[in-house]
Amino acid sequence: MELFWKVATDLMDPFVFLLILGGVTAGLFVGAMPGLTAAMALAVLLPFTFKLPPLQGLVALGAVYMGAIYGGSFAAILVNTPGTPSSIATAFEGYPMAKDGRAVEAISIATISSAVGGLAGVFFLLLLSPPLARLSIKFGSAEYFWVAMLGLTLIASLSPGSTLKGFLGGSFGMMLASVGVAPIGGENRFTFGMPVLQGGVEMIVALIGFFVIPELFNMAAQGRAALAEVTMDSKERGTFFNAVRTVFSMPVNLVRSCIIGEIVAIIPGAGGSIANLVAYNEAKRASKHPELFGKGTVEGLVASESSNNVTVAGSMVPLLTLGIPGAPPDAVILGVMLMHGLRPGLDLFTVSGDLTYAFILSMGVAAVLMVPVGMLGGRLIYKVIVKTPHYFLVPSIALVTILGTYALRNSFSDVVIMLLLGTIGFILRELEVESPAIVLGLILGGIAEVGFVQSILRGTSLEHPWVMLFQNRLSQIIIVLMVLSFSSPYLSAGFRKFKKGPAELLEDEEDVE
Amino acid sequence: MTRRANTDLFAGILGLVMVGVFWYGRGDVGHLSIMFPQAIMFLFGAFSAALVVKGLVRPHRRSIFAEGDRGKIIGTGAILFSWVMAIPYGGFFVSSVAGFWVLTCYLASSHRKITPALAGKWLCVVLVEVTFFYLIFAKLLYVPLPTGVFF
Amino acid sequence: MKRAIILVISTMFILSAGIVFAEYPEKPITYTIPFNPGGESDITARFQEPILEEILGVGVTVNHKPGGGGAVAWSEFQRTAKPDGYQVIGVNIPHIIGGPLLRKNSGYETDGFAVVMWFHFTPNALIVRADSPFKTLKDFIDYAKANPKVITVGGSGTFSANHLELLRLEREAGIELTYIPHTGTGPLVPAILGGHLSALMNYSMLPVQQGDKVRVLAVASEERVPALPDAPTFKEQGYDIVGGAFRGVAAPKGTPKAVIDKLAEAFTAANKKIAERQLPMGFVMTYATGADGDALVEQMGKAYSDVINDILEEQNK
Repeated sequence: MELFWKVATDLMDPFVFLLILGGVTAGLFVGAMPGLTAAMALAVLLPFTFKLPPLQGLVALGAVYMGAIYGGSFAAILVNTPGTPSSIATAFEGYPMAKDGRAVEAISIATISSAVGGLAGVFFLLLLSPPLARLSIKFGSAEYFWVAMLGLTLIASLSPGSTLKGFLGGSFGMMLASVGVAPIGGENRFTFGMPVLQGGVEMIVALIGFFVIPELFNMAAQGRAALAEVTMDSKERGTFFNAVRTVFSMPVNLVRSCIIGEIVAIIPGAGGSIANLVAYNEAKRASKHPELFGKGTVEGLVASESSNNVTVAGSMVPLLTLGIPGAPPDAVILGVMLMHGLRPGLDLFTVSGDLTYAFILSMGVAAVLMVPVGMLGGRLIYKVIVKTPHYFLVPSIALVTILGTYALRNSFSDVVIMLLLGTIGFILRELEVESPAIVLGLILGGIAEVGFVQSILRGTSLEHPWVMLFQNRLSQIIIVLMVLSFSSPYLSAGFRKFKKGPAELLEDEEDVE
Repeated sequence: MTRRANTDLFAGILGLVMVGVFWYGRGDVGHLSIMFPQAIMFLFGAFSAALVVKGLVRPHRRSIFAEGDRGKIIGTGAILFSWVMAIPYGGFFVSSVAGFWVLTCYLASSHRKITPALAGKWLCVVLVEVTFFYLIFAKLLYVPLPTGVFF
Repeated sequence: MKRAIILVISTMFILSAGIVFAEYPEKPITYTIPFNPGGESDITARFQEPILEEILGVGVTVNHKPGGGGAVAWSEFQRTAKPDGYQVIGVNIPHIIGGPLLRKNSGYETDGFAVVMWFHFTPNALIVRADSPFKTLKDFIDYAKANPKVITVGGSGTFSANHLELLRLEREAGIELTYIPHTGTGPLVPAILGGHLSALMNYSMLPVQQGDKVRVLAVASEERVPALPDAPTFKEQGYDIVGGAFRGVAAPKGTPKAVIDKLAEAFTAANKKIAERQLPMGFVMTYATGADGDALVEQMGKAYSDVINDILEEQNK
């Protein structure tokens, strides 16, 4: 109880409150710009936090992290370009909604969902840290490999046209992921004699290329910004209360997405970039009308935005209990903690409990503050984008994209790579090889390779090293999930056909061509 | 143009070309470094080949690059590439002002007449916008932006 | 007569050089970290930054250029950085020794830097989980002798300090282990705590952070590390293994000596100030500047030369 009062008074400090507010706002704008990521925002802030006491420094970083993950949804909804990899699935539904003139509604729903997700993450972190931490260290190299394989089965549902083309895109992404120094083995491959390629294709660079550049070409070709014709008539549906009602009208979806987000978050290395896609896919599978997904469905938007904000506090579970940074922004937070002499582990919750709990709760405050900041900021960004003529919007997005890509690693080559990949992505998109499949392959390729080769190495002394991939109970569970996930679209399609009866089946066959 | 392209065949061929590029660039490396990419390369090739076969047997056709003005896509692409390629020579600021301005005038030209006065006015707008972002990145975030012959 | 002219000209050069560099530094210095934010190199640079600014009287901006285990930044630095003292870069041993030898097209050379200073050392340590059956280094080696390749040891990276150290241990003790590289220090923690590996070869910071969840069998330093007083060294136990990662800062080759000295002075002062914060984290502070700095590169190069030759032979097979 005494601890509670101490924590509460710490958070009541107006300066701390202002830090959270400022952090969320700054994070929101950083996240909304394609190319600027949460990790970069935290790295830039790092020197400023040195001048603050530990709690205030951590609070500011947590708020920026929360805001940046949420801010990614704006660019996804308004220009179909996920601001961060955590909102790829948001673009699938948010952008079609915006094209239908429901941009404000989409932003409001994304805001409420993000806040709910953020709070859910804080709730898990406060109450379930020890068991979740024990679960998280059960994942060894074999499990990582299978988790990546499970993720790749998403390709089947991310490529509406042709599964074969989806897998073509996925394997292209995985090849891109393998450019540079081999994570295991350590030699240079696919560098074509260029030292700069040793650094590989950074995931964000490819993400920006594959999503932003094709969109710029589309806007240029059509001679108008995608949203220019939108009327503002949806304002009513975008009001705060209506959005709240919409989001809470699907409690099962919310709970499921938050749990998925939490599980993905505690697996170090996965993070929001995968959570939003998995939650989206599950929402689609559970939906009564999956055929509407991709055309502006609220369920998919809620799933994506709630799950990705769960990962903010969710990835703090392995960070605070075990000192394992699950995602790049967490590495920065770990650095700050170590600098202040705070060691992750049980001590953090007991000896320096007041600080730790205040930090955790401040993330909850940040999640709540996202609502007013997002409702106002979102409308502002929306108005700017709609009022700007396309001949200014296209070069402006290009400018921010070039800057963001460059600043990621202070590398000019990354800008060239981004532009090249974007052009390839545009051509492939016209051939119906969709960008999300490529990006998913790129995200998961590295995880899969490390897990696979490490498992084989661990089995060096065995007669058949690959047995290591199947030995553990957890691996086996993930394999079963993978088979289920992969076959379920086909199973349910078969089931539907079975129910329809032979006459309709014939009709169905004709539709195929 | 309403000719519809065989997207299966094209995607498959493009895939095979990319497999070829990666195969060429695999480098002279040890077993550990290459075993996984090799497997993926094999799958990539298999998917591409399957698409080529499907494209020949039961093609899926669709009109590509059909939405809007194709010339604008090529023009925009050319300007974007020139903009980026000019950065090492002109520096970030100068190249971006030029690239931004040219792209704006090019995209607007099919909608309205570009008079020198209008182009001049836009140049001012472009200058303000590029300066704004330049200052944020270079002076606030300490990003060492590329400099060229001017600064 | 001729000699006199040469003397006059060279005196003029020295004087003018003296005048020019007496003013150094007069504009901000860029300090590039070739790794991700949040790592040891980054944190150290952030500690140094305000102190350097105070001493040098100009801004010091830290920026990151990660990729390829440092190779991306180092190759570009050696190719483009101007030797005027306004661009410096973080460097690491053994990365800059192993990289150019073991990787084709790494794009940089070990002696292509003007080393300003090596400011600290994080010794390698052989670590097991607290409930491991290996109580001592002897247990570990005896078991490895009886069961070749069965013990799996995780470390950060390939051809890294961890990797090369493990290869040295194999040579010294005449054992065979299985090294499993990980992508950085972060993923090693769940791998050891979850029981996915038998042991770790990692830096001395990890056992400090993890406390009594792990046990250190041996540390590869000359003397015991202050933050780990109970952990014995390899030397105490009869193995001449001293190694780990040295971190330092370098300027482009050809930077005037006066500038290097001025930088070394500032970094030395900064190192003294931040020692009190870094010692408890498991760092060992070093002060190798000038000729000492180059000597250290050479000395460590010799120490690792046997294992590097082994790898090269393996590669050329």
